[in-house]
Amino acid sequence: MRKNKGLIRKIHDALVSKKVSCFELTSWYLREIEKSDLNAFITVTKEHALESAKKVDEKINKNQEIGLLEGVPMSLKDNFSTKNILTTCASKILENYVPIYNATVYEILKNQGCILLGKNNQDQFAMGSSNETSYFGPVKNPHDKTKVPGGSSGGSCASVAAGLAAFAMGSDTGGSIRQPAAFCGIVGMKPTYGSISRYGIIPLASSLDQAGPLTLTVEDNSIVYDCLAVHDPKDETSCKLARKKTFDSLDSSIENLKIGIPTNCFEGSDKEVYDAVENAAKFYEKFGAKITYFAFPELDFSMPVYCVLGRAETASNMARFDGIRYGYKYKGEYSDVNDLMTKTRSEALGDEVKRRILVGSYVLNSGYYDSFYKKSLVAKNLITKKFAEKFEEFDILITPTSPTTAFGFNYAGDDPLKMQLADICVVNANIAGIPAISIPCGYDSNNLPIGMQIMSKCWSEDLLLRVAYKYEKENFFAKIIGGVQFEI
Amino acid sequence: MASKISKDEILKLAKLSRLEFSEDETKKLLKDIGNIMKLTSKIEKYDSSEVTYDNIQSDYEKPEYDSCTHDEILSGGINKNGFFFVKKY
Repeated sequence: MRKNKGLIRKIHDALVSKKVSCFELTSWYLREIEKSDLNAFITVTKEHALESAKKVDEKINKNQEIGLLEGVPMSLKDNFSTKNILTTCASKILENYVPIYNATVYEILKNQGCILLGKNNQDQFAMGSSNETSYFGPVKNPHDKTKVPGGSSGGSCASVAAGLAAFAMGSDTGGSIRQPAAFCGIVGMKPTYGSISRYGIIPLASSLDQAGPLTLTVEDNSIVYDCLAVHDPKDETSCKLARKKTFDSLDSSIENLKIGIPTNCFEGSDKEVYDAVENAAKFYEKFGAKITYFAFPELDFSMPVYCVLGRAETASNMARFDGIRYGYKYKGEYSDVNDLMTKTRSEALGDEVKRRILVGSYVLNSGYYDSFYKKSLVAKNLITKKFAEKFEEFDILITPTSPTTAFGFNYAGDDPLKMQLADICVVNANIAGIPAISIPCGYDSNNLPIGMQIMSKCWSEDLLLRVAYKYEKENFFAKIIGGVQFEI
Repeated sequence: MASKISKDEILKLAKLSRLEFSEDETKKLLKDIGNIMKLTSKIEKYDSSEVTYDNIQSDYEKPEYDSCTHDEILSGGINKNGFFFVKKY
């Protein structure tokens, strides 16, 4: 048994040994959320959470066995559908939308007995890298409230980093789990595409979207991943492959790793980020790892491919928000159904959302389809193949998660492209469908966390988490900011 | 060239996308979309002379396993085919 227990196992032990009741623990988290000024939650499900906590306590009091995740308070990004609970996707158009079904991710976590504390703030429809596009206002970074928490899963990451939830779930289309995890100094993993069900997650770009856990420690991440990485017949892209369990092998050997460092992913990084990530990679040398630096020119296509495919799929996915079937409907006068749709969408969708719909419609336009969309699909396949080749040579690839640490509000000003380029290191894993994790690897001179990204081949989350765990075990950098962590 | 998107094109696309913009918003969009298009123009220049259905498909083979039902997933355990899904710790 490992000595360094993650937060989830500590909570489990405290509940089982009756050091604390689930009701007390949940109430404590709810009070922390109430006190917080981070704007990390859109909806707090207080009554629902306390009711669920009482049920867990009843089981414990009857000396019935409870699962490892049972009674653990957590939160969900607001793009996970939750039956009878508001799901806004941080938008005006879904401001009052209450789903009639649960996302499979929530259904599984609920079935495991997790306590849902609420729904986290995010970038509107997950479009953004700073959490500033939310209709409900920006989220603040718990490490420095003048900085953004990253995005789009900014609220979820801020919650975990500030001790407002034991863990949270996010979604990652072009780095939306890993980039905010790095900015907030926590652990965020985007697993292999098709490993965790997307059913019930409001889609951004369906061929790139993937859900993943946001946790304080690698061990916690492994526990949540093992629980969720299952085939879901309701999701056509959910793979039938039996997933390897990761928790039991966390402590296994990582001797003689072959580590690749794509040098172009370090270009443009802040010096402090560059040095911290390079030093973190060198940590593995004491276990016999061999580090090789190499150029990966095909990655130059990743951002353009992401911009084209992501926006094309966004334009298609966003067509459903028409003000007729569900969500906000324009309240003024309109001439016909087209006019109603136009007025509803123009009023209720955010600027970034509209911009992406327009670019998506443009690249799908008959005159440009071959120049953009089709070529992007081919380039996507080229990048995927090149990654597969690299993983025959290397066990893992290491890059910074983001070229900078958390930046200030309105960093990109009037240039959305500048914001997009904050995701330059993270979009590659979405394009190739490979798993990638961001773990904290130090702090810059302003005491802001730095994230290291580790990537491995498809379906090797066990290796990925093992490598991350080894680093965390000897160099623990994550810390809870803002509150006093519950004593357990 | 893609980066030369015109105002008329924006208005046409906006109509197609069921969106409407003021004059100021259109001007801003012209600049924003022009910037995005400069980035994506790398793709325009990318030589993909052999664009076929086959090379659009991913090379990753997904092994076939016997499936399990949604109810099985939610109840947790291992089904008759030895397929594991949700493990109760």
